[in-house]
Amino acid sequence: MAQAKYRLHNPLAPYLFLSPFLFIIGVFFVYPLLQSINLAFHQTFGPGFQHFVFLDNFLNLLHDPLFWKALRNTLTYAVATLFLQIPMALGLALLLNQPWVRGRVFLRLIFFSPALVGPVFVGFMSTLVFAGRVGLLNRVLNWLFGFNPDYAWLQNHVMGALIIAGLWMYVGFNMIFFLAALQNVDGDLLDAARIDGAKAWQRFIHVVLPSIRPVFGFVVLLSLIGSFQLFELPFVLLNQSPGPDNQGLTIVMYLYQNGFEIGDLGYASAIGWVLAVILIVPTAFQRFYFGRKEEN
Amino acid sequence: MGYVSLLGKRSNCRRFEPRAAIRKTVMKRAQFSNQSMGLIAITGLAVVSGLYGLLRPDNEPEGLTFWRVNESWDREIYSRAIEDWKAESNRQVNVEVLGDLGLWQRMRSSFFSGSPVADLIEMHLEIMMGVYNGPEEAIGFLDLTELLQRDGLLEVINRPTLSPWSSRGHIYGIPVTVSGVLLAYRADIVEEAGIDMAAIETWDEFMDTLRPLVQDVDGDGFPDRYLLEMEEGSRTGSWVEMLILQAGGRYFDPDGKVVINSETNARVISKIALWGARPDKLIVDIPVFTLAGNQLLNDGYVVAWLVSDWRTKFMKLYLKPLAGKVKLMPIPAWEKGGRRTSVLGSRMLGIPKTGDNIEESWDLVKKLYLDRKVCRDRYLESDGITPLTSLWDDPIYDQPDPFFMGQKKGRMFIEQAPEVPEIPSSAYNLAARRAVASAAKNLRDFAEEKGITTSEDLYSKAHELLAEAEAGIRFLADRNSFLRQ
Repeated sequence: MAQAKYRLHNPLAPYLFLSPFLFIIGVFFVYPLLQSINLAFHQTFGPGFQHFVFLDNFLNLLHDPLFWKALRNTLTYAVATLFLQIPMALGLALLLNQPWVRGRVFLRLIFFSPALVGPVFVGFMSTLVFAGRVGLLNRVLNWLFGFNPDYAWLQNHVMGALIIAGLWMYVGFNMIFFLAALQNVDGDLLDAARIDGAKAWQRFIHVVLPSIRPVFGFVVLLSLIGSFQLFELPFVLLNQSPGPDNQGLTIVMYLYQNGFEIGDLGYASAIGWVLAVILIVPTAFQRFYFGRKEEN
Repeated sequence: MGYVSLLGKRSNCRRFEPRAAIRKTVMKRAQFSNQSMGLIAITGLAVVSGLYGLLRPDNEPEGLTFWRVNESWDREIYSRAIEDWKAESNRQVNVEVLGDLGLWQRMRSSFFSGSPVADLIEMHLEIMMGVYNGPEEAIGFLDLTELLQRDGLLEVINRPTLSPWSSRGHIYGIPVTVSGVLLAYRADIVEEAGIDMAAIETWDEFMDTLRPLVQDVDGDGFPDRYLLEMEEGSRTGSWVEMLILQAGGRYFDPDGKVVINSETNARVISKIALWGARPDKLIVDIPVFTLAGNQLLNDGYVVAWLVSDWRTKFMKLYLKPLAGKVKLMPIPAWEKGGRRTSVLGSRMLGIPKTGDNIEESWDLVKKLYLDRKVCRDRYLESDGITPLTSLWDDPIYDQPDPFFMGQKKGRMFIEQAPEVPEIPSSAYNLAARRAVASAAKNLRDFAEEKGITTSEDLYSKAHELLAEAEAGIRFLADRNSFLRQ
């Protein structure tokens, strides 16, 4: 009886509780998502002028040299992130996890500090580092090796400069995740391995790495997604341009150019959906691979 | 579900269990309390915020709203002119100073959504180009052609200066300055070397005559002085465009067709590539309009640089040590008797067509940009040369300028003003600029790699690179069905 009464009096309660969440999700996520699908099949100039072009935006992308250039650049940056940024972050975390390192707390703050100030600041500082004649890098190289003080890094090595700026920005950020994971590695396991005669690298490969695998997978995924969404760093570093010969053009920069400089939100939406599909691949792989490992 | 079922079972139990009874009461109250408090809070917030939104007093300011770009160095001119206009018209003006990006975003959002926008908008050239991307009816600015004709202004404005603010036969903005270009050079360095700059007419003569000034001062094996400041990458592409326009080249024909791969353009980028190629590098890229760039200019890192009328004010502000050491001259031509000037950037004032106060806005436009007194002030305080040809006979333009060693700077700019080339108003001009600047940079790399020393040997490669650039821009432009219509 009490059960029936309770149900009669509160049939809408769950929906009322859910309604703010559903409203926000609907207005700010579902509707824009559906609208972006709709837009991807139109050519637009702002929301007021639209032509239905069906698949033309996607077909144009296939033949668009700038899109492929942006994709190549973004992939290059993503690969550098995987093979430079993450090993460096893990290495730093391993180093700063050692009890014999003095000033660890201070060093952690130093390495993490670029993440505190953000990519715009790091991008701006990087322009000062890589500038010709007055740039810090050229000054140091000239002083040490007699290097050409006028060498224009931001003309000739845009991607290299971008990768270095990215390392500066994100190595310390990823290091924090690894540090947290390393501090949770079971000490007993390490002791047991040590007693069994395992060397340092064997303990790292067979004990530490398996223990931090979930965090490792998370950091890899986060870095990949971040790499594919790269925008602020090249935007600031290259003075709001894609750099000489579009060497610094990324997918999101190209999306921005089309959507907000040219005003074709349709083409920008198509780029956005291609990006989303690209990102689904590593995400699915990460969930599949690391999920199965965890089950095992 | 489990909780209710549990309560139901317990309620059938006859034995008195004080702890269970207390728990039951507390949980029921807690549940009721949570539900009601949550609902009340959410509903309350929704009602309060909704009412606030509906009943909020309208804070729209009275009078005209004027969005202007953030240029601190000529702010005073605007302030005085606006105060005068307010006194004359008995109207209010609310000035909002915005950065380029902020202004662009707000303006585009307003144009797209039809939401309120300022009565007057001032903007830089680079922002205006994006306005032309859509169909004609989507251009949010009022066509000023009729107003200009009505007030007899169309015939007295330097026509080439109107070009970037015009699209498809309509004029959407009034330029603030001519933005013509002269060459500024370090007279102290040049005269010490015994070089007569007056005898130089062409770029070839300039480079050949001044070549000995490229020097390794500190003995580290690298030059510490170059002849000309020139953007070599594609940050803006403006420097290469300046020289191409001077030579009579262009990126778009009058119908908007992409014509990047032309003989003139190939000739110009071949020369620029050779000037920048090592080991005989003559030009250098410096970060202009930054502290570092200013320091390099002060230090004599370059002998000469291209300056527009408005840029001479920057020199006075940021290159003070160069006062009395710099002179101006018409820029060297590409061939004898050729054009001795070009054009670099500008600002305009336009009236959004959705404005409620068109006549008043037009009146304020005329006050700010075309009034004789304000134009005089603008020259005296910011070096800008008015595009109004009817004011060019003003004696203030003949005043010697001590910064430029007593030269009549204003008159020098005005003499060249009618020859200022037109800037195409294509929506894709920015992309074209960058593409051509990239082509010039790649051509320079090619020249360095192959050791090519004559521009004629670069022509075929120049055409190849320009053809690539043209294909890229054509791909962009052809996709735009609004412009095809």
